[in-house]
Amino acid sequence: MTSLVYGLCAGAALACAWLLALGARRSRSRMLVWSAVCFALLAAANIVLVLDFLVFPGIALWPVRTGLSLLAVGSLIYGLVMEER
Amino acid sequence: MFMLGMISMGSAVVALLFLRFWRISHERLFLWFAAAFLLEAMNRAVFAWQGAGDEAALPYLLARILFFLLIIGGVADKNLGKPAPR
Repeated sequence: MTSLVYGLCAGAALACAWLLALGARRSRSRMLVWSAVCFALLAAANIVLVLDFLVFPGIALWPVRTGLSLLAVGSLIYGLVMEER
Repeated sequence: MFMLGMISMGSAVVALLFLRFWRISHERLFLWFAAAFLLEAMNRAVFAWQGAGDEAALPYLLARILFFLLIIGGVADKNLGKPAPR
């Protein structure tokens, strides 16, 4: 159940990243590029979360997951603050 | 714990930035995104506050699902709400 939910979250994040990348390419918006990076990293964090539950329950992967989430939010903040459009 | 706090604060900042964009442009999409990131900020804060124990607990699962539903809802609202001008 948990892995399914976080797997779905990973899929949703990947879909968001893909849509944002398409939007970025169409509108040449650098802000959207950073948004796409954010959701790609969120997808990666959720994939690692699923691996953590299913494949490597014995290994503490939380630093990787939290680090990826932090990078995701950081990239979005950078894009929203530094880019004009 | 420290990183969770940073993610929480970062999400709150992102929410505020989206709120600002919404105030400027009145684009509803930004409101959806602001709500999503505000929820994410609260989710991470509560998780850290509770000692960052078990991420498989139901409230965190629900919050994470709701986060992505809000994002998807915003995108759907933007694309299906009114036909895009040709």
